Amino acid sequence: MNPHLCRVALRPRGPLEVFDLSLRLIHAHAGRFLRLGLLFVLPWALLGGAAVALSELDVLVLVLLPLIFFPLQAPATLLGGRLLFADTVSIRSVVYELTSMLRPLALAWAWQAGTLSLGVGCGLVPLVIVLPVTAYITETSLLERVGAARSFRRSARLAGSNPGIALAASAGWVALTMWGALVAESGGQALIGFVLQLGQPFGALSTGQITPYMIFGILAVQPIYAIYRLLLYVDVRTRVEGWDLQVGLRAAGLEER
Amino acid sequence: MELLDTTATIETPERVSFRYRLAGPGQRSVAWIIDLAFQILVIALVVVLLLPLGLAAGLEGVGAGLQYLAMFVVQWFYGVVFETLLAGRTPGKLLLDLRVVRVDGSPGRFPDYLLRNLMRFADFLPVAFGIGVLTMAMDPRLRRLGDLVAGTVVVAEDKANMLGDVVLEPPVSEAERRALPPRIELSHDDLQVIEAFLRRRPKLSDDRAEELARLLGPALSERTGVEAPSWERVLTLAWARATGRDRPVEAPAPPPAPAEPAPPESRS
Amino acid sequence: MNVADRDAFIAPRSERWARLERLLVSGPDGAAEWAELAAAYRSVCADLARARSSRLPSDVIAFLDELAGRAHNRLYSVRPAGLGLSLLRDSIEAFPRELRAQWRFFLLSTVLFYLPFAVGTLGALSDPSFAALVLPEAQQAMLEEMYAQEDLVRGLSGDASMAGFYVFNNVGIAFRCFTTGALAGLGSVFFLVYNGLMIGTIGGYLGSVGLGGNLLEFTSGHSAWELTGICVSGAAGLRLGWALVVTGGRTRAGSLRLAAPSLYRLVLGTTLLLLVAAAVEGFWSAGPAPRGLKYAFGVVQWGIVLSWLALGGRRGSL
Repeated sequence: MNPHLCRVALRPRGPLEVFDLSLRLIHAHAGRFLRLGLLFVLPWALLGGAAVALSELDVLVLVLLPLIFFPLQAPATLLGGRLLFADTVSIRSVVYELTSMLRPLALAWAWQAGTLSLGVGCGLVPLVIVLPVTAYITETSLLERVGAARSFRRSARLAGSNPGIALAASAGWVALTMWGALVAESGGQALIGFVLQLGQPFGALSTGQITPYMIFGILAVQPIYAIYRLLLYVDVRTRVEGWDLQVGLRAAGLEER
Repeated sequence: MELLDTTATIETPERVSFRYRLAGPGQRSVAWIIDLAFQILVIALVVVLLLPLGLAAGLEGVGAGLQYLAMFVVQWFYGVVFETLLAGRTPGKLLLDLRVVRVDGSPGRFPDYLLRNLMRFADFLPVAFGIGVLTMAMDPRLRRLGDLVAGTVVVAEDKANMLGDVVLEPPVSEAERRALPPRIELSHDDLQVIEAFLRRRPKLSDDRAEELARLLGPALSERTGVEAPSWERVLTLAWARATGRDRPVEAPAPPPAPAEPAPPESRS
Repeated sequence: MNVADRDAFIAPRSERWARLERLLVSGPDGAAEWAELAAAYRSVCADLARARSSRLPSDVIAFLDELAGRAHNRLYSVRPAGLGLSLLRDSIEAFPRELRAQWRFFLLSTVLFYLPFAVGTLGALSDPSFAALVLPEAQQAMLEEMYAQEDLVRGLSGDASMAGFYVFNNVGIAFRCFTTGALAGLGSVFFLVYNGLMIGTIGGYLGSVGLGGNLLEFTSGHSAWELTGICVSGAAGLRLGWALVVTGGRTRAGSLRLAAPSLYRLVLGTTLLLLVAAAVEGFWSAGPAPRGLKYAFGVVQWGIVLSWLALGGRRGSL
């Protein structure tokens, strides 16, 4: 296993192509991502689903939901980041690494949450600017292993050097999350109401209710989104910093020795 | 080792293999949204144009019937018709440079287009291409159900331009040339990566370029004996000598009249 | 790879490549240019193979790869002449032959359709409360009103309008019935059973309220085409689901691929059957012809459809 050989073909791609690539990466390690999902997504999905099914706190759940996006995305980011350079990565080692980085992660998350709430506080237009600025903060803090303030600056610089891709990272999140909610809601209703003929025990999105299916869909796409954003981050670094060159030159340098 | 990528190699009946960029949900969803807008436009046009026509002729039934017919045709045959007429492209695919081809690289035919477009209904289930996206995610060639049935694949056609030759900045000076060892052997991988580095050099900051060059420079300098004030220059000089680009070349024959979009440029 | 190699490779060829580029951009015109395109494509393929084997820089290979790919697509994207003719032949001759070859699926889908059909008809005829289980009350009232009219056609806004609606609705249902066969055949089973039960129950219900004659008069003309069309689409869907589930040792994609020509012919047949059904339904069924004539016409239609399916495409027939 050569830690300096990237497993993904590096070249500048567009945001749309990067999404296709992220599906290929997940497919190549489907088992691992599935296990990661069972470990990190399923408990939250069950919890959230139960909360909207059993209580009247639907709106509260929906408001609180964004708080767990970050912890859902981070394990996938870490796993994806390690899979860029290795053929096999154990879930156990990912979890272990994650626990060893809880402090910088929490700080980075606080930075992001703070910036975003500042953006929300200032109205919608600043959000469009603020969201992309923190786009890569998970990647910079997890994969570059720098402090929270530094990773925030790195994220902002990468976003600034190619705002289009950073905007795609935000737009991609909106699109993917909405898609996940719709497909899960519709699929869940079809399964429970149509195939099993159990009606609508949890209400339906079409009648303005928030259903467990929808919560599940929203949470389930977060790791996929994390991989997408990771590869966008790789794309930006390839364009701006010549990351592909770095990988290639380092491999060549090791070969020379 | 095969690198993870969104490409597929297709061998044609002539035994030539091309590398195609595949198009998955990312690129195809945008094309589909454009097509959807176009479909709505077509139906709206039919409604606006035919309704008054039918009313004027006192045949409101004919207008309504034609509207249903138009809806039916657009809903089920929009893709078939355009892909047959435009050789595997709908307007949306055209705008995104996508094309439907058969898995062996040969152009699609009417039966292929018909099946893959009818199957779109199943791919769309339960909503917003849930099954289709899942199928694409599980297929190495990013095909949805309709593609699997019809034996087609959607590829992205990029118009790659051949780059000009590498420009050495500054060119190798007489003194540098004399100081270089007479013969430098570089591996194919080394040549490729240094060439890529030199091509991208104008887009990188000076600090970053030197940082990158340091990854290979010391080892290269040690083996080949190339000396230079910066690691970047070490790479440049070693590459120039290995590829015979350290001598000033006599001006080449003028390039042929450039073709429209992508002439193979000659070095200036 | 050195500078001399690269130049020595490019210089003698670049003019030909540029010419090919121009041909591709402008589109070849006339036989001479097409021939030139074909020749240029072959030589670019040779250049590409040469460039690969002599390990020329990647940009040259990428350029040739792309140029050859575009030339290839241009060259082979000529539409085959006589698409309309082959369409007609495929749907009139090849389709019945295919249906007979796939008789097991056709038999299954026919049973899946007519069995619930019979259940619905008999159930609604014998027990008035049965219809209420299947049909919403509003629909019962609507049906009664629609078929109670002496002169059916006047209740509807016009022949052409109805034909358009039948095409939109019924062919759409048949296509859905086929395409959802991709869900391991389950979608097709659902559409067959559901439609069979619905249509049967409607018939039985109208019969139980004394409007059976009106219904039979209206549907006699197109029923042969429409009901058979639904069964054929179901057969195609079941064939599709079968190919997906029982791959016979092939990959799923390979199994589907193998079934595709058969699916194509069955789909063409479905389309033809339902288009005829829609035309008859729109222009004849609600027309002013007397009831006896409509019955006779219906019997003839069934004869035509069944003998076409049984004999069509056999050597020496039709």
